[in-house]
Amino acid sequence: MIWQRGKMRSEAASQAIAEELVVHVAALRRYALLLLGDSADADDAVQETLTRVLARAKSWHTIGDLRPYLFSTLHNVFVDSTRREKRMATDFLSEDILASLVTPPSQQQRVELRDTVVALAKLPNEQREVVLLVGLEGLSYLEAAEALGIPVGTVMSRLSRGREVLRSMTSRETSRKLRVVK
Amino acid sequence: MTQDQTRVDDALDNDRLLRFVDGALDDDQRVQVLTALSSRPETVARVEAYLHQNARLRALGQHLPMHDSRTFRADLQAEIVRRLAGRRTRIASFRYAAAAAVALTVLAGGTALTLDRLAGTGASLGLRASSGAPEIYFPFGTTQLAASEPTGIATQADATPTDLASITWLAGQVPGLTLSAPELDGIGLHLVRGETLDANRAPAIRLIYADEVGSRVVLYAGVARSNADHVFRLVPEGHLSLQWRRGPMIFALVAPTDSPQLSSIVELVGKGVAQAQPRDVAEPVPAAAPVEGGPIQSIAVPAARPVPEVPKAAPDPVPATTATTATTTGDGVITPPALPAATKANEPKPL
Repeated sequence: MIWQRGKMRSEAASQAIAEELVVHVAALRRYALLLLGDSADADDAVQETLTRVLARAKSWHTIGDLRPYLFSTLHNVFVDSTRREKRMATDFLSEDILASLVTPPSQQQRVELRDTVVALAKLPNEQREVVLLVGLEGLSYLEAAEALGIPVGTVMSRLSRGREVLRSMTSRETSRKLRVVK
Repeated sequence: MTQDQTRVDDALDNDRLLRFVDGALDDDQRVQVLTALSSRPETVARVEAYLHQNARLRALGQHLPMHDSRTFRADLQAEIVRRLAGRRTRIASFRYAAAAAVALTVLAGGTALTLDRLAGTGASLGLRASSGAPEIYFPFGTTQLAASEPTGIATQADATPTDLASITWLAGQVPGLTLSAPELDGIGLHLVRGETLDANRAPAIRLIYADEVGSRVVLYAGVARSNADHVFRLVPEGHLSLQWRRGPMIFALVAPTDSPQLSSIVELVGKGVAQAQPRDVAEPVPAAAPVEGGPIQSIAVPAARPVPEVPKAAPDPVPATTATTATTTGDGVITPPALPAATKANEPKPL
């Protein structure tokens, strides 16, 4: 009977987390796409992430906040894939992302989004991760640090460098476009 | 360097600027930063650039195709099952699909005499839908039917006469009772499969409904032998339980507190089973209480994706305790009770 009670409690916890997983699938796909730059690779990473999380179902009760945990797992999947495939930043397929935009924004917005995607592609992986987690997904510095397994100070330094790189690249793009207009 | 300059530099250090951009400062700190920025136009340009970056990233995220398409869900589910099988991971059970769970138990043949005739030994005939081996459920929709349900379930095909025969079969277990499948078409759910549950000790059936993208609603119905039969084994946190009774029939509903389809499902299930007209019921059977140890009967309803033409569930102030009381009319028409308010206090807790 005690075993049954424990099993039922475990099932209840599993169900609750399984339902919560659904909420995060879209965010994981979005993050993975902008991190990896390829929709097929992104979906594969999300699949692997959820597989790993579900495989640890028995220890779910030890998970405090599922969201950083999912991003942490996705980070590990990303690191593993980059080690395995020796992925380079140049593999980032910004055109794949741009081609997949659901609702084409205005021309000006589209240009801005293109610049952002291209600039993201040129960021080092560790900076791109932090910029996306904080800027896109809205994770706190602490959550981002937890997801990436690094100190908060490292998160902020990577974020600062990443934002400066993005700023310099987008400002150059703006200057170039202004000259073209003239 | 003057004291004012030092104060400004402190207010505009790199970490503080980042926190300002990301909204991680309290009000006092924000005022300090804004005040300091007034004397540093070059820093203002930097902050504006960072804010614009965040805005662009959010806009980018909004324009990415991140809806859970049927193809993606199906692929995801199939891939996860394949990978987990490859790892030989044992997962006890994920019983509920996307965001909702609804349960129905039909307690039919209200008199003890009738039920004893069915039961023979007097042992419980309560539904035992969850008493089998653990099933692997994932909350990702389409292919979970193929992955975890009995084979041969078409997610979109309409039910066949064979499927509907299970309802007739169940009704035949109780003399004088007729049952019909609840019509959930109005909320985007159509019956795709009906089957008997032979492995259970009690006569029971399972009706599977699916919406347009293949997410399902599973409705269990069974014949209970006595008033002591348990309705629920557990109710997950974040869900509410609801029971009501009409004559010899008892309905049990378990669903997420925020499901927009709750009231619609309750109403439609009530209408569907209202067509059951027990003719030989001497007296009604009291509603069974949700007690640990009973079976689970669940309907999994996707809550993350709104189903077209679903009326919004109006908040209902009726507490859960009152909802367990049947609203019965003398002419045999079931009037489902109102849903309880989705409050923490009303939510059943997991065991």
